Amino acid sequence: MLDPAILERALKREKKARKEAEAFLEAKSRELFEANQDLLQLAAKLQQQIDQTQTILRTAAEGILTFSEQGVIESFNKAAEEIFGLGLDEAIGAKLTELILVPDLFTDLSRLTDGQPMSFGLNRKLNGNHKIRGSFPIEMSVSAVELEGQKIFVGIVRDVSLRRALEQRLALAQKMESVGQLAAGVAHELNTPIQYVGDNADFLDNAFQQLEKLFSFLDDRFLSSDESEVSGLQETYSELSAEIQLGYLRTQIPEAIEQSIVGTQRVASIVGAMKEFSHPGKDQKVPCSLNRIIENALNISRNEWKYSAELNVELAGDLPEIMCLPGEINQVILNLIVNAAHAISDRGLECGKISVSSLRDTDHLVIAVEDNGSGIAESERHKIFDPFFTTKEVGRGTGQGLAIVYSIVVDRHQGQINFDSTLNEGTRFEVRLPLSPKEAEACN
Amino acid sequence: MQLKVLFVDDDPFLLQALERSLKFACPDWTTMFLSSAEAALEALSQESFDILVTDIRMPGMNGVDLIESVRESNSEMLRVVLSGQSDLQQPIDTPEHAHLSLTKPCSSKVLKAKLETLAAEQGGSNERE
Repeated sequence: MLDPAILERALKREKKARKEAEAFLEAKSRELFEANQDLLQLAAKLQQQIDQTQTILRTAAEGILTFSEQGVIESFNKAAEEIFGLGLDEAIGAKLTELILVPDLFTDLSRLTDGQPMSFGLNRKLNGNHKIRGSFPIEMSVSAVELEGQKIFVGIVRDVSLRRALEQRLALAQKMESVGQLAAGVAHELNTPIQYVGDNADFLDNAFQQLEKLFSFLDDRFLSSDESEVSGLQETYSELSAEIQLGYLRTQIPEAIEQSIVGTQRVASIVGAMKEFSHPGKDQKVPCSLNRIIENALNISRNEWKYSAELNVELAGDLPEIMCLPGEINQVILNLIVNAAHAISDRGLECGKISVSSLRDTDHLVIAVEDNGSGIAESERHKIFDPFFTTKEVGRGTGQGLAIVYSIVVDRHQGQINFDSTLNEGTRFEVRLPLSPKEAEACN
Repeated sequence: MQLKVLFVDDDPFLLQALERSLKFACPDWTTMFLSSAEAALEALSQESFDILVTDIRMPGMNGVDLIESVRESNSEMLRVVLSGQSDLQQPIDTPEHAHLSLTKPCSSKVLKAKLETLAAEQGGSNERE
């Protein structure tokens, strides 16, 4: 039989243990509840963060898209939809190459390693394909990431139509600026021949009136039937010839005519060059003679260099035509020549020399403009192609010239521009324009 | 009116055409045509002229410097500019001490009228105030 006292104790212990267990359970379930609360909060926060990230990606101003190694688009944000004119459902699953026109995109992308982005279209033209509007210029940077063993590419795309349009407007503005700067010189170039053509015309007018005296005398005498009229002819003719200075007229009239023709040709060539230069031109390359463009630029700029420099022109005679934007190449040469003339006057040289040459170097046409002017200081050499960089005083240039030259040669013609300069000795600029394989063949 | 005029311009065609047209337009004038400021200074050291007509921009010495240098040495001579500069040109090219500034193109009739008026007005006291 159990001792009731022992039983009582045992019961008491049990009760205590149960109480403790209950308290423990309560504490634990409270803890659990709290942990659960935290977890819920965390989950909500996480969802919020996911939403936020997605909203950011979705609404970012730049087009963001991801695509697989096979080039299949997996995600596409709102800006991308806008840029390409495509709905999300149309874009997902589409091939990237339908949207972005880069033939060798995937060869380039295969070189991408984790976390190393690659940019396209910054220096080279890259075009996107808008569903309705068709081709338009873009810039794109792509990075690769590995997610769950799968390599995916993240592309950020920017529509640069507006920027390209602004760049073109800036180029046109610079062209107009150089027209403005040249205008006074061109006017001077025109006014001189107009002056002497006018004077020659005045002279010819008077000369003809003099000759008319001779003609009417000859008419009178030769058409007269009276024999005695003809007898004193020789003497009177000599007298009259002397009076009207026939000898002088006979040497001067042909010269006046010849020089006037040269003068009008001169005017016509300047006006023609000016017209060709100022013409905004199409944004399409046409086959051109590089030498003709060079002569044009020399014609317009004559007044800038003729007082300070001796010009030496060596143009290769057998250059093939090259596909280019003639107005822009004209501007390149013009800017280089005007700079050469400025460099010479900066050096204060009496015997300035400017050499302009063209030649062919296998698959390139090369234009070189060399001067013996002030040269470019070493500290400034890396800046000369920067927009707005100038060492010229106000009114002589806004620092756009070489920046435009660079963009025309490198961006718009895929050419190169190099220079060599020695301070106080001179500078040589070399522009290399690539011939297409067909053009290169045409002359081989 | 009888005038002795020296023309200076670096363009030989311009000088020849001027000579031809003035032969008829101003038969009473005595004229000389030279193609540089240096040649003009040389000639002016030998003989005097009533009027000097010079271009501004020329290789070597320019017209502004020519006008400056004859202002003292040939103070009686009238100094006229005949240049192709338009109004757009920088004012640096406009000489201070010219009696008259003409712009190309200027017909021989106009040139004759302007120079003869100037000579009549300035005759005797031709220093510019």
